Amino acid sequence: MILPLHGLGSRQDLPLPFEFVLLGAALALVVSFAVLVAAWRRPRFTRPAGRPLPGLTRVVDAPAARAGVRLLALALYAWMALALWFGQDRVTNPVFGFVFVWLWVGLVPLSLLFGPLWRRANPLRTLARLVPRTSARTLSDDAWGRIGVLPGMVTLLGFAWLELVQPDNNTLAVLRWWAVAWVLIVVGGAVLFGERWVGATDPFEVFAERIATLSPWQRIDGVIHLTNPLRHATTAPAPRGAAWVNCTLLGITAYDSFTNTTGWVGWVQSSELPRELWGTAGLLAMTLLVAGTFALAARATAAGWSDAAAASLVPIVVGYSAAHYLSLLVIEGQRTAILASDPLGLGWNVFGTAELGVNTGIFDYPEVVAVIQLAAIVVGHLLGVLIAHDASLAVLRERRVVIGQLPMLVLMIGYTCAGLLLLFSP
Amino acid sequence: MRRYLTVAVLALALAGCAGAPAASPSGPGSTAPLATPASLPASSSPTLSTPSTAPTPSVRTITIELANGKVSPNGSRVNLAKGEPFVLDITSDRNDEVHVHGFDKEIAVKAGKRVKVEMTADRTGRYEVESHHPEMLIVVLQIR
Repeated sequence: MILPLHGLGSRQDLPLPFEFVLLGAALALVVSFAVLVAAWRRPRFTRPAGRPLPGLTRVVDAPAARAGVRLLALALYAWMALALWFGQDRVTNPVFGFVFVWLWVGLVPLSLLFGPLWRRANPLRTLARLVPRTSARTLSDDAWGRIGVLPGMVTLLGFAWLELVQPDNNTLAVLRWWAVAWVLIVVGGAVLFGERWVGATDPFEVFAERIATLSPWQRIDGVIHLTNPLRHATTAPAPRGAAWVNCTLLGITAYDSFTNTTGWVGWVQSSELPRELWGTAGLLAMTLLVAGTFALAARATAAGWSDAAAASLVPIVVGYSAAHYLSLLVIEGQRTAILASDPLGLGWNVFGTAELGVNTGIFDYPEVVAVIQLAAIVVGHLLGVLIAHDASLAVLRERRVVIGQLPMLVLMIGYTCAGLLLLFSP
Repeated sequence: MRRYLTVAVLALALAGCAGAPAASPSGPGSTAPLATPASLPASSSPTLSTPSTAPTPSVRTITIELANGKVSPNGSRVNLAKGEPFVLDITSDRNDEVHVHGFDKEIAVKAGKRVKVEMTADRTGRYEVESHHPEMLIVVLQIR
């Protein structure tokens, strides 16, 4: 996060050492071509499969568990809404960390570990159910299929704009406007069109759902199965716009990192044009760059641009997110938990965390952080390549399996090297 | 003593070359006395000065200038070793604050006055030093 969110993101990781960039690029190359020549030759992930867990399914689907998860998430939103509306307009207000760290960064590990939990917990869905429906309009399944998660791509870009471009996004006045707009669009739309609207528009749910396709939990005929995450990502239904969402996620993280480069900072600061203009242009350009290169590579393979093909981007998105935001999540995540005890700044200690200090031990191990960053990017790359490999086997004819995969492979190597370079932060 | 003098002269000469245009026209602020010329050359250039030969504890000085709504340095990086002391040497043509992120340090700056603040790079990471009116990124401290 580049914007001076006072206190928030006030420390950033050291640049990745250049040897690490080279090592990562070399690993990405080796891994890619090893997969190309040595991996399986018949598509393996053609349909969902795994170990059925009927016991777990019963527990998860029990009305008490459903209600409990909903209530917990709703209480969390309500608590933070309290801070947003009645708290102090200072760094010590937990709402900033809640939005920019807990939600934006934290939903990634949450969805990886627990699957599509956020869809079930999402307080906006709960709100939409509490408000009586006007039942003014009902959309057909067909219409919902055409809408897909395309609106979610727009709201995600809106959130990215708030995070990376919006001036004074560390003040309550600004955040309140955005929160009102968000709830009006998502819950208001759900009141008109039904709850499915939330799944199409809420940026957090849309993005958590994409990440959840890489979790080891997949529902097959209603029963939770323990499955290979690669199989899950390949066989999970991809709503319309999923490719755009994945490209947008990658673009946002890349742009966030790009804004840290000295060249960009110097350029924007010495420009006569307002920086919001540069920020908007940069954010859109980065997203279009990712989507454009993906479209080119997809066109060069037999599969073409499809939402299913973009499944291979999910691990790369996760790798980018982990590499860029790990320290932020550890440090600011803790700070938010501490501040959450006193949302109004009245000296409360509701959860007993107020007196705790942020454990900054992670600062003492910059080398370990660098290794984790490198590993996240390279493992994300490997998983992405494996998913793309399997998907291409399903569409490419036998004689073209190697040649046909090359464009996608080159694209992924490009994304990975770009990610490493951005972490090197020239 | 001769070495001290040489260093001082060299430092002053350097300062004169690099910072002459910026230092001369401004008001009373520019005539601030130089406390320790050997270790703190009054360079107005955006680059760092590290008097390598100075026998006194050499403290890195990061010279910051806020003028006409622009900042100098303009968002560049400075590498520091963990535990290293450094000095922010700030001149400004407006009232402002210079905020050193991660150190929770807000330095009040008065128009035409020069402020020097000594700090210690006691934690690793990248930290932004910013002005607030307008919000500009001046320099990024890279501490390893």
